[in-house]
Amino acid sequence: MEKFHGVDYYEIEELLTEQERLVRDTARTFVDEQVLPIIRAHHRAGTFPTDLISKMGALGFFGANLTGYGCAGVSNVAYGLMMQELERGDSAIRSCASVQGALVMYPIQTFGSEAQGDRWLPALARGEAIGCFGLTEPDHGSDPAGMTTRAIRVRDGFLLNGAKRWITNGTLADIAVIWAKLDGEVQGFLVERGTPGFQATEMEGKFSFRASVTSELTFNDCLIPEANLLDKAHGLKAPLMCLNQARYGIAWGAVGAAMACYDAALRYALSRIQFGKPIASFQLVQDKLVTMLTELTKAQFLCLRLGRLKDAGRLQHTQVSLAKRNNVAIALDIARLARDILGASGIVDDYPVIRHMLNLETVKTYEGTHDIHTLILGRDITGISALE
Amino acid sequence: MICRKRGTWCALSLRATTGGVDDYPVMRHLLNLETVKTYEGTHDIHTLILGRDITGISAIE
Repeated sequence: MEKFHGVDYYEIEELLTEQERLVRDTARTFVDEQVLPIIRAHHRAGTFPTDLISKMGALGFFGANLTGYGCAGVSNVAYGLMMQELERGDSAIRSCASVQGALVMYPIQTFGSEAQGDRWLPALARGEAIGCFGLTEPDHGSDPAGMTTRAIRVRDGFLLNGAKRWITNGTLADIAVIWAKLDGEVQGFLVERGTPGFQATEMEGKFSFRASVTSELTFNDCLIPEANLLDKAHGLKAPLMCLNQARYGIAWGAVGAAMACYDAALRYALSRIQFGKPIASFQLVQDKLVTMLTELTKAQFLCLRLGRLKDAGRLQHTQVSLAKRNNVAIALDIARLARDILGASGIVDDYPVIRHMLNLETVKTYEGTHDIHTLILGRDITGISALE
Repeated sequence: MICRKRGTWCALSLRATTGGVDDYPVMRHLLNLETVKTYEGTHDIHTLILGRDITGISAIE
């Protein structure tokens, strides 16, 4: 497998620290050597490469920007570059790491007890345990406040009833972070694999995220011990804080998918001969390539600044919304333009382009749809909410 | 940026997450139309055919 050299038109490399470059290069080599050779087969088969989990754990990819409990504790920029490279491999690989770190380890560390942290975080960091995050329900996607999953207090803890859908890592998970209403307030619960009444089933018929595990979870009178309540999480703000962590990684990840598509399109345009010359010599093709590179370069700068703000502790969630919204949209545009440049070759999986294009349809939708982020930003700048 | 097959994309967008599964015809049509855009003269080739027609100058060769 040929080594990827990145897309860096504005010498952004110079703005990275040595540690950030090292982390990026570790993830880049992992993707070149471990992901790209096998991802096509998994995409075709609709399976997740589970043997990569322990390798990602050993490399410190899970919860890498968290500290303590065996986490790598790297800067948020380094973590972002890691997400960029993982998604250059496939959105499924980045999503697995995003869910594990931002949506499972982060809430356990932020809202959980010391005992919960001691029990789960080291195992999750090493990839010896896998987690999933259940907020979205069959009837409540963009409006999670309407969730119908309920917990009631009983003598030994809580009784959980309801269903969650579109859950990444669901059937793989040893531990599920589940959000449910308790006395009308959203609270987080750790639901362990094997809990009686808890079922996870794989969803079928996906044309996108085919190499990812996407599941439906059902809870039927599940008894959750008192010790499994995330007792510092009160209200919808808690899961939204988790999503903000994950969206940060998505903004970077989208750049990785866009890099893969731009790189494939440029190579193809230079080697494909029509009318006696490379198609790269045609103005319409050059226009596409330049548009792709321009949007990609702008997205890289958004990410870098976003990461520096996060490292400085000044990041606003609305700034994350702007980057997620923009970067995923331009990545999808770049993937579609790449697909176009590749002509008929663009519809087969000899090239990564169609796979990324399909994945990005999902990335545009999950973790706050493009439109929801528009309205979050619209509310922020006008002071008027169009959401409710 | 460039807007193509607008109807399909808008439909996919409105469907949100369910747009990506084959319980609905949207994702299937979106995929098919990527091919239809390419075959029988790509979108770009038709651009150049029209450009040649209205300017009298060929950009194809």
